[in-house]
Amino acid sequence: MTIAAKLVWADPKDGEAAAKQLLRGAVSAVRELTANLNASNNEATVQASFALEAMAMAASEPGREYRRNSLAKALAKALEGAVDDVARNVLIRALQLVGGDDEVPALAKCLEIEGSFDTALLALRQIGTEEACLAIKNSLARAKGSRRARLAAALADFDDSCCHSDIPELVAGVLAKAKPEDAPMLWTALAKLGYAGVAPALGKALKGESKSRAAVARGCLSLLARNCLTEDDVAAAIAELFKAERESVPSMTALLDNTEGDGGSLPYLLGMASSEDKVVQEAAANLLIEDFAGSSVTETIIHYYQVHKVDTGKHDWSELRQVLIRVLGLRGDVAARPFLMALLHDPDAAIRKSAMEAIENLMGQLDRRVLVATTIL
Amino acid sequence: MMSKKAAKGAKSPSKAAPNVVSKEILGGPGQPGANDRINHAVIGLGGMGQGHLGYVLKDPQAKLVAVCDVMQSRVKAALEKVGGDCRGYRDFREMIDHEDIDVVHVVTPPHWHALQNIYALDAGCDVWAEKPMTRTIAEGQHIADAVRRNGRVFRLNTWFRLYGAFYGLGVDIKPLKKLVQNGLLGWPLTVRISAHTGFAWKASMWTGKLGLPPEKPPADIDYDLWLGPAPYKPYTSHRVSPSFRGYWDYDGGGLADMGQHYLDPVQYILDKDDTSPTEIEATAPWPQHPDVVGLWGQVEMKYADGCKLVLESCEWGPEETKDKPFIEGPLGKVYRNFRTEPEHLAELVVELPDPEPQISDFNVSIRTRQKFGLNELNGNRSNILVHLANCAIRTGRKLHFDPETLRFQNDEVANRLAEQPMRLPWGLL
Repeated sequence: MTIAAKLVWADPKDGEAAAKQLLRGAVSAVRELTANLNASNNEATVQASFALEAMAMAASEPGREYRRNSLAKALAKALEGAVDDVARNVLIRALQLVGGDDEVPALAKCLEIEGSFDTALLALRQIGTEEACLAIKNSLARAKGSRRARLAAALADFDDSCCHSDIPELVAGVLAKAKPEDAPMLWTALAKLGYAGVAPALGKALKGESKSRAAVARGCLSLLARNCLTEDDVAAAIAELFKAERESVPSMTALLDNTEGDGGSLPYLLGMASSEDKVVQEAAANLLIEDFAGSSVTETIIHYYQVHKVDTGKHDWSELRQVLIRVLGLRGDVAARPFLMALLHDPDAAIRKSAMEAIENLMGQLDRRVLVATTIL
Repeated sequence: MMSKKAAKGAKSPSKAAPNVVSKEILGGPGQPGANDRINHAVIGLGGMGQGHLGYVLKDPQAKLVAVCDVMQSRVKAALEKVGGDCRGYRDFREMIDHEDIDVVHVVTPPHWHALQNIYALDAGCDVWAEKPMTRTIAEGQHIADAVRRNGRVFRLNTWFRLYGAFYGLGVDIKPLKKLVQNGLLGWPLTVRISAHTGFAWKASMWTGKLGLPPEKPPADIDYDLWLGPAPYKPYTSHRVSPSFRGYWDYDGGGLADMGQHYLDPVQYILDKDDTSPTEIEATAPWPQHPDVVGLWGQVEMKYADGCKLVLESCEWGPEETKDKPFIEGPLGKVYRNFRTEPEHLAELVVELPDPEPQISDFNVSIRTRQKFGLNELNGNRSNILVHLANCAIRTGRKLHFDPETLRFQNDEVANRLAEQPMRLPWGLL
């Protein structure tokens, strides 16, 4: 503890030297430091916390893997002998930084202890290996209630390379029996896992009375559409968004994100551009500008414009036409220029103004000067 | 923790969308019209929360419909202050359930920022968020994704890239931006953000306290909900507002508190809104405490093109910035109060073209759906600067960062600091 006392807000050179000294006898140092950790958070606890942090950071320096391994083993050994939750949780947090597969068994035992369950689960998720995943699965088999739900949700943190194929079904099984308050956490997990079977439950929540649960469901369906691996599953996720909110930005974005380069979604997007909901209208316009390249798209937009150029009285088509004109100006396809030039003679002053701005955006200031000079404007 | 999204090669969120909407004030379903008042709600009623109440109450276009805090005394005091039919809540989810909100102000401690921002965005609200934008590097991308998938507008609550005297520098950002963008200082540039150039880092003010014994949480606070996604730690009164800034689980000291105010305008001046430094090195007491944020002396962050940020607290270690310029390049320097070398640079500014205009009125963003000047994309880049600095302070070594993947190179522990799981049931989409 003499060394630990020197580490409280130490000069970095002194800290580094002390850390190296502690790491030379990592097992005994960790044991001694652990004995000084207690719930009163007294001076000895503070010094021990500094010392463990110093050891963790110094041992994890890139290229010194052997140091990290020996420290992590010492922490795990001390963890098994820790006398209370305070000591256990400090050690677990150090292992969250430097732990690996070898330390998983010691952390897994902490999942069975009430006062260290959450901390150990965080550490195992951060370690993120197949061993850690397996430890959580094993604990899940014995757990009940909300603890069971948390373990199941944690399984979604493990990437494909260590994800057992049964995990999505396992999480779905937990969701089926979960308390309502645990459902959003499990929806999120299943969306991360790309499990399309959760889509109907999300669709139901999206149409439910709780706007906060609907918010989670909406985000989950978007995430699910991105994470599903088959086209049918992607379609199932997007379909639930559409059933609940046909005309919405999340529906539109989910569809377009998953049909990149697919001209089939263009008419739908143009329909959205004529939405009375301004948020939807502008989001559609942005997507037309950013996500659909090529002159054939320009032609489709122009055709759509021409079809809707007559005011039916049911809708403000003038505003839609202005949006489409701006879209043509900002898409950067010069094929739109002749069409825009012709609109400079439109009887509607707002259309002429929009066309002028679009030409400026498409061709630059020079065009405007030329147009002014030739008295077209 | 690579997601399936990454494995599948999902499309990355778009860059700032071009402005396509007409300048007319829009109205209609889903969007407040020119004469509609915009419904605001504020989550978090501490010191900054009072500031946000003021923003809303002063704005004739705004109506405050709800306030929320895990401390019931704060909710009560806020309701007494604002009067009218504004309603109070303890849990932000209940507030979303029961209110018709256009804009949510997220003014809670940073460990809540990403979660509450995303909740609000997925509930179809625009967001006015406090800085730092997130508590970790990885969380920012989740917010950007949520903004995009919902087509919402997002503003971060710092404004010096847009207007206002830039703290103690004695000048606003515009003339500096003009000098830099016209190449009058040369390239690469070094910027010093130090007490000596006009920027107090509040490092001592926002350190935590060591050795505090656990206390019983008062009945007024829902402590579990205050902790939310943060790991459980026994309650002490110093752990909660406003001194939460001194604890790593919730914030990152004065550096995180002031960092986006000071660094975001610099990022804008240097035209670094879409990238991050590649090398970061700090001088600070080491080791740091695993729970309590301590002091620091200097942080240097270098971009791939050689531009460099030098942060200096002047509260620990040697002070190297005395009599040095705020910004310098091979052709010129700018000191406090816009003293320049060579002297004629200051006079030249008047003749230089203005920078591209930025939207500085959030009501305009809300009504026209154009991105606010400081939004989820450029805001996340300046947010990352803060966290890069703190990761270097905490690890005590030079870090190498990839601005594309947002991961540290060959440093597992630094990456574990950059991306941390949340205490369940809380988690990010």
